Amino acid sequence: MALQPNLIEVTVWYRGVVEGRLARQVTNSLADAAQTEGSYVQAFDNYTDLPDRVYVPCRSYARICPEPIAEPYTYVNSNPSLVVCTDAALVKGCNVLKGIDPGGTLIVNTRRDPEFVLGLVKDLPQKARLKKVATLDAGTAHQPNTPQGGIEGSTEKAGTMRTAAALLGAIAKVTGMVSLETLTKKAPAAAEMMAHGYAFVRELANPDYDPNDTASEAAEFGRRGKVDLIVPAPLPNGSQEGHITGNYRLQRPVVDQKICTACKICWVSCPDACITMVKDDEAAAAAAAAGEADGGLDGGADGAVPAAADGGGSAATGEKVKVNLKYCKGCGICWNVCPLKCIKPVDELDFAGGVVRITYSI
Amino acid sequence: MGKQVRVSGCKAVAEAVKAANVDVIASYPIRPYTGTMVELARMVAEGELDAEFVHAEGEHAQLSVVLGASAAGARVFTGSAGVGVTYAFEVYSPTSGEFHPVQCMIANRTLDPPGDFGSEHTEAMATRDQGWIMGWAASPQEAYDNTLIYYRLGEDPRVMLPQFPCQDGYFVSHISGPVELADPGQVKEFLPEFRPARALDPRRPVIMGPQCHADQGAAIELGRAEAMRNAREIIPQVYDEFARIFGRRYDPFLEEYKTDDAEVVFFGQGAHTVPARLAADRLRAQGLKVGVVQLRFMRPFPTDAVAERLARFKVVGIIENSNSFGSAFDAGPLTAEVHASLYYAENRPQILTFLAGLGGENIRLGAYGEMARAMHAAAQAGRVGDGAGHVGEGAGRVGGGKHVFWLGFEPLGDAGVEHVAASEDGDGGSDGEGGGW
Ligand code: SF4
Ligand code: SF4
Repeated sequence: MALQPNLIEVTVWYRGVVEGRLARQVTNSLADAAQTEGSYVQAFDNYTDLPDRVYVPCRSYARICPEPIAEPYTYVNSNPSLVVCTDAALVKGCNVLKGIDPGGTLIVNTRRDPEFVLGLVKDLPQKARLKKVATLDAGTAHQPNTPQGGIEGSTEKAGTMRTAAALLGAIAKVTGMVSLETLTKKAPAAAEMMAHGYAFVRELANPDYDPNDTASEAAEFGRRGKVDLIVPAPLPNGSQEGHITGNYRLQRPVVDQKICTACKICWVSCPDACITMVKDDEAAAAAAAAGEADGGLDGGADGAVPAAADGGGSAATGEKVKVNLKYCKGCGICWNVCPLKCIKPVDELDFAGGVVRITYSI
Repeated sequence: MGKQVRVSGCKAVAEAVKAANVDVIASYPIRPYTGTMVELARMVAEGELDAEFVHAEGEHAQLSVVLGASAAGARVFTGSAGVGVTYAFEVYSPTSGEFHPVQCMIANRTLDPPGDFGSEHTEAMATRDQGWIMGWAASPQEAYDNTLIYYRLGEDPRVMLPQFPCQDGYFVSHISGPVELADPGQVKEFLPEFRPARALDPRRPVIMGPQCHADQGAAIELGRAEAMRNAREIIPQVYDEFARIFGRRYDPFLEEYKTDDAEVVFFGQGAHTVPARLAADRLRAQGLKVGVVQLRFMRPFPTDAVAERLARFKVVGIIENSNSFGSAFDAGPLTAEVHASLYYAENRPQILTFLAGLGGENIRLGAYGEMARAMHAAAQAGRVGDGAGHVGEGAGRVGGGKHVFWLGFEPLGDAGVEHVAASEDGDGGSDGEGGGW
């Protein structure tokens, strides 16, 4: 930022595999439009996110500058002035405001309102730098598509744009960094969706915005020490702190303990060993320790309906299903294999603020 | 004039392979070069390119497949990265020794450790003595052009050598840039059909790669050495032809940037020479006369061009992006070759080496500033030939001999900086951490 004050960085957060094309459509189209309007531009993907894993949070970048970009070969956008998220659960699961330029904007694809999104960032350290938040229901894009050479440094053939077009329209409206006219001229087939995004995006000023909040950046070039390659390993069945996967999750498994017979089919099926069988009293103790219905990342209650001592078959064995939400990816295997259908997927966003908005139909 | 597109280095190479109308492709995935094969597979599947696409079971097989296909007279393409490059090592020498002009792209990746995805030239440099033509692209456009240029050069009957067109992983392979695609007519004119004088053909049986006797060995090696020398001879003609047909003129050996009045220059190959140029612009605004020299070919190494053209600077700062543990000066292959090339020059520049960008680390602008200031300080003390330092005097170096630095780990001030700072303090910027300029 200090090196090139006129550089505008745009970071798009998206879901691995299923939204790679969507994200690149946004960053490439933005860069293209800005270039048409006379700027120097770049568009590139993050190289160390794991974009070949389904639903993993990944980033794609655009950079726009009135003069030649001074550091064209860089891995990340350090100080984005615009952050775009393709779904709101990304805002919940990731520090999307990291390094945001003071006065920056956050645009989220969600049917929820901007106030809700502001609620999701309230614990983020740099949220006072955020000037504006905007939301738009641009539709869901996270259905499987066939990546066509788009992964691994190549670029795919242009597909039709829907969600991307709406987001681009919203970006034009909220930031003005490119005009709707230029975007439309570059992709006439997407004009309608762009106009939709432009018209329906909802904006909200961040009441906590503080233009003077310029928390210090990490030194860009410091001296370092040596690295020891032999490091203590976690227990074989322990968790890998460096690779928490809970933010892959769009929907959370919620178990109706009254119906669960503790058959352990979900326990044996979970590909990430996120399910453990715990004794009733352990579960109750864990829930009490977690202190809230939301349960925290691997809290005991985890959306499990409060224990019913007299309920269902689990009482026979005295065991309950407990999901480790720090690692649960929301893959859906457990709720598909449960013979009694007593695991239900619930939108992750419904758990914000510790409120469990769920009713059981069975 | 061809079509303008914005593509990554990976995709650019795929486009060039298509333009070169390659006959046989052997793939095996490894980051970061995979994108090229993904794109080529798509082109073949969708009928854009009529080629045999063989998915091999590993890199050793990849290289073996294209060796055989080349022997049968096909124009062939393969590629790899990182440990994939070293896994195929056995096949490199027979490929050049039997004169098969195979092209194997490399998008650089570190070896293990660290084995991260980042770019480092070490894996490609490890193959530099196998009789292959080798050089680096600094941008997707150069990557595109190099594929065409290398086929032309390698398939020349006086050369017939395989080629490693390299590009820095991620920086070039994954970041898109503007590329002008060639017209088919241009490619046809520049790159004639591959018609080797001798190819495997059941109607005229020949044996290739027979068991040799000791007394045949030297002659075989001489043949390869001569082919490489021939390549060095004809490179300027190939670049002239390229400029005439495509309208892009490169210096065949050393691309110079703002060197007319430069006292100190960054010297390197590939991606890092691009931010070096941008850094030079900024440093010039501060009054430091900095230039950049980009090496095009590691093999054949342009000894004469390096000796003649680097001799005029006061200080050459090598950006050394690969390791050669225990080599001359404990630096890397580039350092050894530049020193060797300059040995007979009358007026030698001081040479500093910066081990930088290892593990794929990004060399930030501030770091270029720090390197340039170290070079500038050394320049104040003069050149080797000015009597500022001679062999025997601190190993021939101003400031007591230290001239190889691990960027980020060692203070660069030892490069004669203290020595100079006392007498002259005119470098215009003393922001040691390099962040603020
Ligand atoms: S959703 Fe998938 S990861 Fe999560 S608990 Fe169920 S099976 Fe395991
Ligand atoms: S949740 Fe379903 S699958 Fe899992 S133990 Fe209970 S009944 Fe079995």
